Amino acid sequence: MDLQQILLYSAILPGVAAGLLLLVGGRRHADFGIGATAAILIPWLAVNNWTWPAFPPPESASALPLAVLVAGLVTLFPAPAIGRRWIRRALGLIPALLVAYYVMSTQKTVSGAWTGGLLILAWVLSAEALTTVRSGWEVPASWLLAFALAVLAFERAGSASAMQVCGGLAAACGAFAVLGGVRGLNCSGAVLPLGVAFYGLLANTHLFATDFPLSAAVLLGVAPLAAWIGELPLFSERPTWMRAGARLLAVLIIGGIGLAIAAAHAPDAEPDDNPYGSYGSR
Amino acid sequence: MKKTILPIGLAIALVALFQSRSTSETNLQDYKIDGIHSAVIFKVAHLGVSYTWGRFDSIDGTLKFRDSGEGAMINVTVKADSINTGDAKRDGHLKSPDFFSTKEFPTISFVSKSWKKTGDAAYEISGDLTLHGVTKSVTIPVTKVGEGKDPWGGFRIGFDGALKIKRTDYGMSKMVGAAGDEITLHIGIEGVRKA
Repeated sequence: MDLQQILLYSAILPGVAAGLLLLVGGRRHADFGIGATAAILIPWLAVNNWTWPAFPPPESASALPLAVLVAGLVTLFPAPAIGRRWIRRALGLIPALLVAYYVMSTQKTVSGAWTGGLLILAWVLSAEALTTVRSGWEVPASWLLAFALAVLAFERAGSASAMQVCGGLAAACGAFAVLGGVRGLNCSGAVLPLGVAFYGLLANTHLFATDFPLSAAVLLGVAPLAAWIGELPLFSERPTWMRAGARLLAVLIIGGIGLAIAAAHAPDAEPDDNPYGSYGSR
Repeated sequence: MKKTILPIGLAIALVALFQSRSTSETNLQDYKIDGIHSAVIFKVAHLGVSYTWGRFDSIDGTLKFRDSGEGAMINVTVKADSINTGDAKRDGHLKSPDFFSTKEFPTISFVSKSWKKTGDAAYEISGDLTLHGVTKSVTIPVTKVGEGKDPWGGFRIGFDGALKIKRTDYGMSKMVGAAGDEITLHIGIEGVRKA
């Protein structure tokens, strides 16, 4: 894919799809979930020759779209109003179990499976709580920055497909920041698919890419949660721009360190005597 | 003295030559693949305008062979992370989950199921090729290049063959536009007879 195609399939189309689904939807929880799912699956399909993976997935990376699809379907669950959130959280266990199964099948360790499942669950619960506390554009804008930093880290790790799929996450958050912000919505519905995809990309790149250290994966994974800083008493009652600025700065620092670590461990640079680069263009 | 040594030496050489030829023609012989003198080279279309060439530097395996091909067997294992296209950054990308995912699928292997003699020194080897965790049956036409003693007292045999595969058949479906789907593999195998 050339740069124009990458931008089309990893930024423009995912962002437009997420935005349209939010616009035409009834401002429901599920609109964010389906929007995020579409924004993740479009770049995944684009880099995989528009082919849906076989079942069971032949490789770890092929498990990602299935887990994201399940996460997206969970957000559609028409639970009764009373206890709806808790029922959805319980259903959120399904992708967590899928992640645990994935770690188990690739790493063959029970402890790894527990750790993987609990990490994704903790991430989702924390992120969902943040979106519930603070609606509007601040949180998705912070996540846009966190995912954009991860895009750069995946690029440095030499994993173009992870980079492009993560672009879909960033694009979805861009759409949510604009439209959700205008309408003052909270994007809690997007948390499960975003979390499953982000965790999957980080874990897969750490486990199987050439050099992507655990410290980089953890810092980049925690970066979206750094947006919690805006809820500290020091910032929570301040003007929106100051609160948002604190969130973006915290995300930038934590995610930036993760990116710096990933860049420091990146595969060898291109030879200086190759004016065209590894792929025919610089 | 010279007159007696020369005929005896010639006789020994002829007997040795006869034995080596007759055993390879009739009996199954075991060989260990000599990775240094074997090669797995590939080419794949780049942007549809040319081919990018690469090779795998680590090859191992065993071979059983007799001229009729009956009962012959070859088992080749290639370390996927020994891929070498002459560019470190591209090699890193090829090892990543975008292509070979060498940490998840560290080896590429071929295990023959049957050999069919198709000509004087020509064979068709059918077997299972496992690449990127996917196993598929393939048939590789090969030619026996030669066989004979080496200068170190061993006995060697060599084969040469080629086949085309589609990488998408093996789940390597990323970025098919930039790097072509069809891969041409050229395989050269040299075996050293086991003592």
